[in-house]
Formats: sequence, structure tokens, C-alpha cells
Amino acid sequence: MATNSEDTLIQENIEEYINDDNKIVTCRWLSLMLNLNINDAKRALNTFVKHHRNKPADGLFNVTYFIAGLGKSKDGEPMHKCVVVPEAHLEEVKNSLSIVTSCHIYSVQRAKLKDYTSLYLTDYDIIKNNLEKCQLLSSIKCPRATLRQQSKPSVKSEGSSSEIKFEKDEQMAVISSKSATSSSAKGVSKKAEPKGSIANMFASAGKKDKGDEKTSPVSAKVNEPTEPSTKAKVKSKPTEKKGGVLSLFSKQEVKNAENAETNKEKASEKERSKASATKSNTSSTKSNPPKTSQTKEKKNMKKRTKDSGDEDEEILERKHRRRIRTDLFDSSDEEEYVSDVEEEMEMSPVAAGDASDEEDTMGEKGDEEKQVKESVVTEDVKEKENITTNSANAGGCRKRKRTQKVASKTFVDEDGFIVTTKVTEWESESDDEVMEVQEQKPVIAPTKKNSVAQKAEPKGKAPSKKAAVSPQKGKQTSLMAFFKKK
Amino acid sequence: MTTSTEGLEGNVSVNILAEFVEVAIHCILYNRNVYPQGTFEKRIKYNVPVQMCLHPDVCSYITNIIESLSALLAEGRVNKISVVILQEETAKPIERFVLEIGELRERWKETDPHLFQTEQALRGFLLKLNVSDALLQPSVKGTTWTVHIDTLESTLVAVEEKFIQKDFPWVEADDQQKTMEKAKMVPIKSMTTDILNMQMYVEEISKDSS
Repeated sequence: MATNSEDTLIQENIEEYINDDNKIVTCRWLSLMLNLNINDAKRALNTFVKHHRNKPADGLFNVTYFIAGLGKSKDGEPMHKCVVVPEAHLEEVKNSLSIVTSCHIYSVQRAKLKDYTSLYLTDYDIIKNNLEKCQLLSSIKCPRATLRQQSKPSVKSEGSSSEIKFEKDEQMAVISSKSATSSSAKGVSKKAEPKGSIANMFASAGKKDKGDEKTSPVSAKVNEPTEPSTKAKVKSKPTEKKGGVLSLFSKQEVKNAENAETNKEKASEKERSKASATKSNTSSTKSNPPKTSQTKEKKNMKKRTKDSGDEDEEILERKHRRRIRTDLFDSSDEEEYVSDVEEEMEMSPVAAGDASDEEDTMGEKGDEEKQVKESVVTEDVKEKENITTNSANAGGCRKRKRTQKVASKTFVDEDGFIVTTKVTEWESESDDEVMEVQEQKPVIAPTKKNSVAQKAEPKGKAPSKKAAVSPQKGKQTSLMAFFKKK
Repeated sequence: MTTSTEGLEGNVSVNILAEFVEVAIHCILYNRNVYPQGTFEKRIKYNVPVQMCLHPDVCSYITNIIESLSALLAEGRVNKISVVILQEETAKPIERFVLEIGELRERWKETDPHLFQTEQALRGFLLKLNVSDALLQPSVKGTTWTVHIDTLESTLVAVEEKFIQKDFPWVEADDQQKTMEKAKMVPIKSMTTDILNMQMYVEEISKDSS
């Protein structure tokens, strides 16, 4: 019924247009005026003509038809013709076509048209005013044809594109930073690259904020098996990590203020180490040139931390642990070990930043220390041992003095974890003691825990130390060689 | 400079109206079969095809009429322009296409500077002229035509010398051509634009009187 009522309304409208308004009603004009599909408009005109032709009073209108079909040109060549003809010439044109492909009413009007100009005039304005609607109402649709307005918002698209570019750049930066961290973890294991390490610091800085949550659980997991006292320390770690390289100096200042007395003792120890420096160089393959004042200060800090038994000092020591851990990753030459480390690095982006810090400050650390750290991460005493061993590996009499501190005793506690206790006593400075300490460390690491640490032990020691120490030397030698070649 | 520009701007509306009158005359002549269709040719005006008579005498005659009309519009006021179809033998009017013209306006400069709306309205006028056959009695053979302009006497006096110089003088219309007995008026189209108001209607004699 709804369709019938609509049809009747359409028929009434057509009648009004033609009889009352004296308009030319073309199928396209009707479709645009009444928002009808072009085929529906054609059907409506057809029904109008059929209905009113039977009534002699209403039959005073003229009809034009659209005919399309195969015909012949003047030259006799076949061609497809599309013609708008008045009703009087309809049959004539049909007969001229061999095949009629389309024939429908094109327009209905009361006036007797002399030419097509009136039809063109009729459609011109309404099509011009409804350019967009024409495509919607047409039965011929091209999916590729899109409105120009949809593609016009160029300004917005530029703005969005720029934003997208920035987002992409950020993503690329993140990716590059990740790759840098991973590559640095690998590359540092082979060669100490100060630039990469610094880049990793900045790259990892952003991760730290986000990754603190991740790093803390990782560290918590590592610390779980350890003593309950370490858990409280773990909670304070994230804040400590943020310091980065600056934290080292700040720590040093604090330590210097707190341990003024120890400094005096260290000064005396330094004098001793100078005397024994020659011995250490010969005994250890890791021997290094005379260290800078910074390294001395670091060593002093290590000593200070060992002396102090307070919790604050333990927290500072933890920072050193992190550094040491990352150093382990960076300095290790073994790819297998590095791969394992990378996983940890991903879990704890802070470690990457620490690794870079270590490269700048403490690049001389050994594989033994790494193993010990991974296995015994939570134990403060172990850190002290590692620090002392690191200093010893770095070469120098001072290291031997530190090894005296390393004299701490290690034992397996009830939980099966190796625990080292502090030994504040300052013992002999001989090389033999240092060597003993070095020997003890590899033993400790495997017994403590991880298979990863066990794997890393045998290979890592000597080469990693060399790699960590070498960067400066290698650069100088390479430059000299370059000039020699020329 | 200002006076010259104002004069040019004032002529714009005059020229627009004069052009439309010219097109309308050709359209009427074509639709009312005053001349054979072979003497007409399609031309583009207002972006639509229009018919234009190519006969030189007809063209010159229409051109003189339009020039005179322009002069009258420029000097004063023109109320009506009528295209009168006359019976050739008796010289009696059969049909009169009357174009009533309002006062020319200058408001289009702000509202319709490109005259798009005016052009569209004039197209509508032409369309209605083309389909006016349905409203009028069928055309009759043996007809002629003339143009009547309804204006003020002062305006005519102002431009009368120009008409004489151009050898196209205007005279007062005969009463026979002005009056139509038992005439019937058929409205064709009216338009209201910012440049002018205009309406067209047709006066035709009834069948009985003819």
C-alpha cells in the first residue's frame, strides 16, 4: 500500500508539473526533483503516459523517447545510436535500428518541442544545482568515482600526516633505541663503545620511567630467595637507578663526607698499592696503565661502602650491583650469554642504562664478577667482593688492597644461597691473596644459582676484562697505525 | 574617473537587459514560426543553446532596436517592451509578448557580483518562452512583427536626435496595433533579482475574435 500511495503521489506531482506549471518533465528532472532513482522516474513517466493517454481530455501532451540500438552510419558502418526523438518519429527510428537495446520515455510536456534546446534548458539548472545527487540517483555507478570533497580536506590530512610522521619518528626512535640497547649489549660484549653506551643511556632513560614497574618485579624475583632484609632494599632501587652517572658522583660525595676516616686509611693504602703495582701488572694479564683520579675515587668509594654497615650504604652498594650486572652483560664476549642477558635487558631497561654507566666508569669488570652478580645479586657482601675483584682485575696495587677487603667469608645458608659476610679487617696486600680471591669468585657464582652464570663463567673472565679495558688503547693504536700506513 | 566608472557600471545592467531582449526577440520569432526554421541557428547564450535568426535584414533590424532600447534605458525609463505579432494582411495584432521592466538596481554589485543568479533567472525566462507554445494558440501563417516600447516622452525627446542620426527613427505606434479586442492575457514568467524586476506575459486574441 505504501508503494501504491507513493506512486499515486508521484503521478499527481507529474500531472501538476505538466498541466499546471507547463513544465517539461524529463526523467532526470523528475528523479532529481522527487529524489527517485532514475529507473523509478522512467517507470513513473511511463505509467503517467499510459494512464492519461486513455483519457482524451488529458491527452494533450507530447512525449519524447530515448532510443538506443545498433544502426548504420551514412557510410554503412555499424554504429550504436542513442537518439531522443518525438513520439511521432518513434517507429521510424526503431525501424532504422537493427537492434534496439533501450527504449524509454525521456520527457513529457505539453509544448510541442521544435528542438532539444528546451530539454537541455530543463535539465541544465537542476543538474547544476544537484551535481552530487545525480550520481546517487543514477543506476550507473562507478566505484572508483569519489566525490572531490572527500579528498579535499588537504589541510587536515597534512596536519594529520605530519602528526603521523612524528609518531612514526617516535616509534622509529624507540625501535632504534631498543636495537641500540640490544646491539650495545652485544657490541659492548665484544668492544666497549662509549658512544653507543651513552646513547643507550638516553634511550633507556625513557624506558626507565615506564619500565620501573617491570624492573622492580624482576629485581624482586631475583631478590626473593635472598634474605628478607634485601626486599626493603629492592623497593628503594628504582629511585636510586634514576641517578645514572650523576648518582655515582653524588654517591662519592656522600661517601666522602661520611667516610672521612676511611679516606685516610685509603691514602695509606694507595701508597702501598703504588709499591705493589708492578707486581700486579706482572701477575695479571689484565694489567692496565696507570689509572686516572676518577678510578681512584671509585675505588675509594668501594672501600667506603665496605666499611660502612648502615642500610644507606647498602643501598648505595646495590647501585653498584646494577652497574656490575650490566657490565657483565656488556663485557661478556659470549653470544649465548649475551642473548640471555638481552632478555633480562628487555625486562629491565634500567640495566641497559646502567651498562652504559659502567662502560664510562667501570668498564674493566670481569666475567667472574658478572657470574657472581647474577647468581648472588641480592647480597651486599657479594657486591663488595665483586667491586674488590673488579678493582683487582683492572690492575693496580690498589686492587690488591681491596682484595684484602674481599677476604670476606662465603658460606651456603639454610636456603641454599651463598652468603658472604663482611670482613672489615685489612689484611696483606700481596698478589697471592688477590689471586685467591679471584679463584674464589668463579667458584661462588656457579654454586649460587643460574645455569646462565655457570655457562658464562669459563669463557668470560680474561677476554671480557681485556675488552673492557682496551677501548682507549685500541683507539690510540689504531690511530697510530693509520698514520704509519700513510 | 569616478564618473566614467559609474557610467560603465550603470551600463552593465542596461546591457544585460538589452542582450536579453535581443535573445528573447529571436526566441519569439523562432517559436511563433514568424520565419522559417531554416533561417535560425543555434548559439550559446547564458551557457545554453538559443536560436538566432541569421537573416541580415532581420538581424540589422533587431540590432537597431536593441541600440535604441539601450539609449532609452540609459537616458531614462522604459516601462514595457512588447513584441507584437501582426497579421500580415490586416496589420492587426494577434499576439503581444509584453516584457514589463522594473527599475534597474545596483544592489547586484554586493549580492551577486558575478551575476550567477541573474543568469539563472534569465535562463528560466528563456525556458518559459520556449514552452509558451503550449499556453498559446497555435501559430498562424502570414504574420509579421514589430516592437513597441512604452517609455516617457521626455526620454524619447532626449534620444530622438540620436535615432534620427542613426537613420532609425521611432514613431508613435498606431492605435490599431496597440489595441486588441477580446484579448486574453497569459502569464509566462516573472523574475525578481538584484539587478532588475521583470515579468513577461502574452496578450493574444481569442479564437472567436480571430
